[in-house]
Amino acid sequence: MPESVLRLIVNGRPQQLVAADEMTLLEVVRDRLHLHGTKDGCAAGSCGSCTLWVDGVPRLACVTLAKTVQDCEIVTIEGLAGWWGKQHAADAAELHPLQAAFAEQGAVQCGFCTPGMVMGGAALLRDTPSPSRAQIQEALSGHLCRCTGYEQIIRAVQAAGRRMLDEA
Amino acid sequence: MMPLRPLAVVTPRGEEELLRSLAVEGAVPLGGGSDLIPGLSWELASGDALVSLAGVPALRRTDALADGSVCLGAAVTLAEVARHPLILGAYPALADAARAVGSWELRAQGTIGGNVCLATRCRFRNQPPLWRDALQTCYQSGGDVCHAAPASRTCVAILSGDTVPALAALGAQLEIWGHAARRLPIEDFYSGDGAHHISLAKGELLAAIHLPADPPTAAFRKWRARESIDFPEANAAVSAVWREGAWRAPRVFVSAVGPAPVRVVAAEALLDGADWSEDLLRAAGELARKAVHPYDNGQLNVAGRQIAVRGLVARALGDLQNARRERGL
Repeated sequence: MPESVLRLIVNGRPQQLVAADEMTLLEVVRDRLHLHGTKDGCAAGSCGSCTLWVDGVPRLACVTLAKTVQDCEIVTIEGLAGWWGKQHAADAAELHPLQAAFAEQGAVQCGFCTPGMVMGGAALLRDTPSPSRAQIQEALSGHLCRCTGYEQIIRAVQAAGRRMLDEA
Repeated sequence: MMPLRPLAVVTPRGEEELLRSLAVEGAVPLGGGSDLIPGLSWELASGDALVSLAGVPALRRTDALADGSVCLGAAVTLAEVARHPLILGAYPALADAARAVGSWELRAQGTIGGNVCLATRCRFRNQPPLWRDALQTCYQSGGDVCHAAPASRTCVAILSGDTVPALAALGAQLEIWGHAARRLPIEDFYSGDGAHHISLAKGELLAAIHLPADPPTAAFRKWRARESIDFPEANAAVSAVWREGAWRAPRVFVSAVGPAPVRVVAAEALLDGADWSEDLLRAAGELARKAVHPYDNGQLNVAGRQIAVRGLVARALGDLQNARRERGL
């Protein structure tokens, strides 16, 4: 069984581990690094709950082989607040503004889709500071939520976007 | 998730190493993996060594060539195709088709080459292994029956790449690497047999897509169950050149209704040089509907998909008319 030494920077910390070639990034993050915020939903690229950032790009960890992201920088939901703090020279940030907005707007019910939604939404707000409703819908179209009906999630992205603009 | 069975991942850095890796028994090219990885985990695809294309610079380039044509490397992602200035400027129908694939995350990962070579899909096969165990093994899984078309002697699974009809309407050519490099028009790449739907020999690889200089005006339309991320239930692309007061050399392609794209020659003959009234566009749509014979192996029913084809073609032709008026021609 081919294995190799995998080097990743996960949430700002260098990680090195021996992993079998067929391991997905999702298995590495959840089972090897024990970061359980990234969820294992459909395992087929259909639900979006395993979304994390690879070199800043939102990607689906379940359909990404870990070896193909060798030496990349990974940000998971656990590291999003830290990433945000670093961007704003406030390393004590407890939550990314979108995480706070999700809590305030009631955009979380069972919570299973939430980490993926937040990682997708935070990337949208990083690239498009004041997204339209249509842009939010398009960006989150790959994320399934069976509880909220999406309305509160869209409101949370809008609210976080407004707050980020006010504070900028 | 179901862990993948043991395999090797090979990451060549150059063209020679790539072709050498692909010539090995059991080697499979790996583009973005957004379709191949779930396919492997559901045992729809197989391979002992996945050869990643991402590290080969020649496959990652989008180049404007001296003759005015554009060369798109097979490993360029769909997100890059959808936002590249060269594509948005001269081939907007291709950008539309790339943007119609999957979700934001899937487009960031999936490649144009992967979309052109995308495994065919069928409601009776794209299911978990346990579900499939309840049925006799079908042609594509190595058996001798087709559940979608019991009288058929070949697999009728659906070609589901959205960029295929757009590339065909634009007159794109595929560059294949292997023992000898070759080029062919994209519409000749598909065999019509859903189990072996693309014409690639062992060791061959789709390396690049060539888009013609001075492309025709083109438009793409797609119909799917959920507007957000679904595979097509039918899609269509049309193109034509506006010359001396009329549309000339129209190309009409419908796809996602069988294992290969369908060129609607009857509609092209009707449209060439004619006055494109609303009735004529509807008539062309009706000819497209008659030219396709989808089986009941998509998510939506056959009659709906046929009616959709009529509408998609008529509307895509309308898009050409709108594009012409916007340019004041």
